[in-house]
Amino acid sequence: MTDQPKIRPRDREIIIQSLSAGVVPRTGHQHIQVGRSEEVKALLNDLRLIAEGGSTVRFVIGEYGSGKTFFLNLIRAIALEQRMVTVHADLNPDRRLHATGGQARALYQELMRNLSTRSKPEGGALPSVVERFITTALKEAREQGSETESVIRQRLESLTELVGGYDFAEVIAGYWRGHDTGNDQLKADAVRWLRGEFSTKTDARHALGVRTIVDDSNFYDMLKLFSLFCKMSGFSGLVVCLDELVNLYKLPSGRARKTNYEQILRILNDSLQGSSTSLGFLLGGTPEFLFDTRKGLYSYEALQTRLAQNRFAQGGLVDFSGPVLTLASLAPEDVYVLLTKIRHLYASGDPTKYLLPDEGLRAFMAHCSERVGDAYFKTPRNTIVNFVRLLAVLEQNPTANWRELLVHVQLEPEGNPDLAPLEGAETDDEDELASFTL
Amino acid sequence: MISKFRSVSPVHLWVRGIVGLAAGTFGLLLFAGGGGGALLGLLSMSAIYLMMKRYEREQIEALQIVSRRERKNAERERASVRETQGSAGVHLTSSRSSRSSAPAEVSGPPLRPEHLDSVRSLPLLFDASHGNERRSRSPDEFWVPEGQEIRLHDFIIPGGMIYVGQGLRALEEQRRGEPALIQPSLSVRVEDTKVWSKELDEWRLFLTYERLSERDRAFYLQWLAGGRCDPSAPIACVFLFFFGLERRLLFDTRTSERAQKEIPALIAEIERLLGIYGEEPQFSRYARELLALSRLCFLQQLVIEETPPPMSPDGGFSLELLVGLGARLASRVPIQGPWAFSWFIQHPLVFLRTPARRCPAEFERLFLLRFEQMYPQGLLIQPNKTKLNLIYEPANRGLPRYHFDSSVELPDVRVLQRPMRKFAEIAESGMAELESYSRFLGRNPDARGTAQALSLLPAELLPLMGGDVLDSFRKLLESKLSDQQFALIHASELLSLWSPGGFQKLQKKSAIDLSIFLEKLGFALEPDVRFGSPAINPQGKIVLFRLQERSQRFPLSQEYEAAMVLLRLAASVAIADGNVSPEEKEHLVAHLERLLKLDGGEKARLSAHLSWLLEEQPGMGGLKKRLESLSPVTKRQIATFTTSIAGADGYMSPTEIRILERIYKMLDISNEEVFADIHALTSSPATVPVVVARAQPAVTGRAIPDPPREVASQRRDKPDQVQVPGSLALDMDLVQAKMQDTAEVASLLANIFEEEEAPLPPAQVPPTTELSFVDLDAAHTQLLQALQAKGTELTLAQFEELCLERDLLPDAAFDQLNEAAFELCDAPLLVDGDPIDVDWSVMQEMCS
Repeated sequence: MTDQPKIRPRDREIIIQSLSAGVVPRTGHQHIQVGRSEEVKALLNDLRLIAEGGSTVRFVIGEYGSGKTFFLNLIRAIALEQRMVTVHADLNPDRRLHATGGQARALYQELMRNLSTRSKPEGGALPSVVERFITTALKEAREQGSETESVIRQRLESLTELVGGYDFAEVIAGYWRGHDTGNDQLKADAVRWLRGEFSTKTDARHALGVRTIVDDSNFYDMLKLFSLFCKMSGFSGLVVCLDELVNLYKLPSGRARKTNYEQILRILNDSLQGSSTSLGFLLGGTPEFLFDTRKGLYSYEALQTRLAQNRFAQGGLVDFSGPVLTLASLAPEDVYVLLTKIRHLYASGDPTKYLLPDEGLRAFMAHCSERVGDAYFKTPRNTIVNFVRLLAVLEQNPTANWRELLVHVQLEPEGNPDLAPLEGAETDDEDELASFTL
Repeated sequence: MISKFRSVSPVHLWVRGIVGLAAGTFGLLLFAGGGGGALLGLLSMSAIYLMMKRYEREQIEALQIVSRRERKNAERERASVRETQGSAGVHLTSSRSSRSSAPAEVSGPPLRPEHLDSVRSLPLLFDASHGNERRSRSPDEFWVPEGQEIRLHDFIIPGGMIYVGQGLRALEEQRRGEPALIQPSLSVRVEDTKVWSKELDEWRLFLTYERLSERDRAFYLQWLAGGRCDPSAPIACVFLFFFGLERRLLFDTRTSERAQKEIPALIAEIERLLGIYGEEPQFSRYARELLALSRLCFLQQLVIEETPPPMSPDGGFSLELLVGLGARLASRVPIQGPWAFSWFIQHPLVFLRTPARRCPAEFERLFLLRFEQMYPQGLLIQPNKTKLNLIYEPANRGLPRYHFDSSVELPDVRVLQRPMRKFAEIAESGMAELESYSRFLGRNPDARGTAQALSLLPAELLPLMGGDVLDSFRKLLESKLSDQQFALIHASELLSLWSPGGFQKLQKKSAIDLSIFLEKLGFALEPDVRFGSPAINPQGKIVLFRLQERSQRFPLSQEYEAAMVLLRLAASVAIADGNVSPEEKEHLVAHLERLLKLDGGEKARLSAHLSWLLEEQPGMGGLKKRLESLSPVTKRQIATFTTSIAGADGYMSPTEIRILERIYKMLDISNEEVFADIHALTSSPATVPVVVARAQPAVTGRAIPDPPREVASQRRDKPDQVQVPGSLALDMDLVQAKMQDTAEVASLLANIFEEEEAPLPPAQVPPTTELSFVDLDAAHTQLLQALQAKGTELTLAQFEELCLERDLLPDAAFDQLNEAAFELCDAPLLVDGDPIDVDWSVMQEMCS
């Protein structure tokens, strides 16, 4: 514990704010990460691979409350720190990996909206990436004394071999033209195109003179293009974080599930075969999403063979190199350690300012256990929220006795929303019986 | 009751008054002997009463008969003398055989009536001839001594030892003549000597030479001529000859010195006959009895026979047995099993239940076996005081019963009660053991000797009674198993031996019998229906194994049954991915053994069962019902266990998962928990060994001991920490481990998020407006300076304007500046938004 990283006041504020709101903080994960050093190491290795031009896919499988999202965020933060571009999105019925009704494009839009760099970790960094690219081209043009646009086109030439690469290059050039000529509309259109916001090809042709748009069928190709583009812009790679994959599992239509899993298989194959570069995928899901042999990934034979655990990793040996990374659910001890971390954070790293003794932590946990039962540590969200609130009260009222406050902590058992059926989930027509009346 | 001790029928008794008297005496004697037992006493009493009544009546009748008989005899004698003289003469002259070649003059008995007169009266026990006025002649005159050849009709009879002649009287009054006497005057007809009147065999004891048909006489003479050794000869021949020997041995010896000298030869002759015709029970009985008594009384030999005499064909004690037993007691020789059995079985009051009657051989073997076990040295019995009366009832009806006089007094074992009680105990247990076997034979009379019947025998009897069937089983088992622990064979191989007829389906009962049978041979098989396995599939395979300890028999413990269910489920899971890795198998057995308190025999059976399960893969049919009765806690344990089995090889195949889903469904556990458990199993980090099940001392009286609760980290609550609400216990060791892990990850992350402090002290950096740090080119540095100079709130528009002035793209510039800030101070300079938030402390640092 002596090796604690120093705590920046801003990080402290953000973390405490997020925790008290019951969401995963955007930054400062290192202050509250508990354990999982092996998993982190494995992912660090992945990031290194991405930076070196490789590609990876990781399925982060954990139960509800086991910290998948936190872990994904942590990795995302690390990726940003390592000068990568990250995009992230939660899947939901309207955002899928494969669809015909625009849901895949919706996912792409969401990803691009959340595109982050280290300096813009909250998203919306798409123009930054583009401009970084143009800046380098500009610089090069200046040094060579040649046309900027031709430098851009020349540099993007390698992209044109890929699917949609030509139009992509066209759009980037368009952005430059817009900037160069002060045509903000053009710039905006280019960004809109990159974000997948054109819904018709006609509009795109009118606006940018390109024949294609990002749609359901090519959004993954666009991501691949974009990863290369990030690399060209001076970033070390692109990390795509997709959470809540359980939503695919919950798709009521078997056909829809299958096509989505096919998309996952494609991603997996590209990654394993190295046909995508500097692209990493992090997919968060629950065990049933993976293991269910009727509806989960295991229902898809080709995926199942690729995702199966390493047969040699047994008898105490572990293999973190497989595509599936399983996160153990939290044990009471984990929660305890987490509470100590939060207390430490709250005291800004100064043990003398701890608002609660160790005994207090235990009493708090006992209290939670009493109120909620076993669930309190399996789904720690409520526990953490209440703990942070308790600390807040203690901080503002130095005279208050934690023992008295403890009894007022209210806890409600949490349900697992992942297991709830989707509301208003649409189904493929062919799988549903048509209703009719005579 | 009397008839039990006598070899004659009651009808015969009836007409013999004198014999009746003897019987009465005998009965009285018995009464004294059997007085110990109330029943025996009662029976004896009534027998005696009847006997007395009968005796009185017979006395009267006998007197009448005697007076009638006297007259008749006188007439008959006269007639016979005439006839003999006439016919013999005719016969002799008509004989065609050359006299010169005849070895001797026909030394037929003297035919003159005066010879009869010269016979001294015989000092008989019961003088049967007292009413006879005409004394018989000396028997020596009729007796052809041993070795003397004689020619009768056309037959040359070597060896002698027969009475020949005319007029030798029987010693019993009512008989006309000596039954054994060959009367040369009676004609013979040699036609087909092979034919012997069958009924004669039935009336063997009432035979006389005289009454034989011509043809049968020829047959008899031919047998004699043949040296009395044709084993195929009818037993009546032997008896007829034996009659003569009896008379010579018992009665002639009283009067004749010649006869006395012949005793050894006579005994030897009887022995010889026994050697040839001893198979015939009735003859054997008379001959043996006579022999035993003769040896004892005439030769003064107290013979301790090794084996008891065969059972008397008429039931009841044979005199020989009594003599043999008496001799043993008198000589203080312990009673061995066979003697004890004979003693027991021949006791008239012994009632044998059906098992012993239906399976006498098995019963005898079992009796001997148990006796041997109980009295390895034999049973030593003190001789009692009651003396054994040696009364011989000759086979020859022409002879009265004979009272032997022995110098050695033998105890009469018939009165002994205590040994009988011991024997009865042994016999009763034996009959009980044979009951199921007997019942089976009762239902299936043809099944004797089949494996199914044998399976019901007590194990010790198997080697004795098994025969070929047992050998073939042994051979199969030994050849299959040889030195292996288990052998997997086709069920048909075993079943063809078990039920040679073959069948489609093995009945449960039959399957159980088969298992028991194998157990008796020291083997066992799986599946065994007794242990909850499904029935043997005749088309499938079975696993054979040796029973380790004989004591390890059915029933096995409750734990075992639980283990079976678990194993079945677990095997289904292990089989699921197509191949069963050695690890999975090992894991299965090891965990079951650890979880459940099983002993050696059970472990062996469990392993065998597993081998079978893995081979036959019987699926999970029929399990649902057995699982239903389990408590939710147990179900939960089973579920977790099966999951741990599936993951034992570190690999969870979809098929395995599918099976697990089925099992969970059977256990009424929701599907989600399957995945949760699988996840928990696969997700435990390597920081601590995966605890699948904690070894705990099994609690007796529970089907399954404490749960394999702690699947990975999900259930790390230690068993000693009681999870009652309000009292929470933490595993501080674990906390420490986690703290350590956390510290590790913290430092790891610290390296990432907080790049090494720039080693450059600010003093070394010249405060110039030019590039103060590596990453920024001139344009960006200018921008930075412009921002610093601006010093106030920065709107997005202002920022873009500043960028454009320097021909920079605003977003790129924003990024670039931040990058530089990160490099330097590990924090961004600008934070996105409108207005843009500038971190002045960073700015300070950057521009310093």
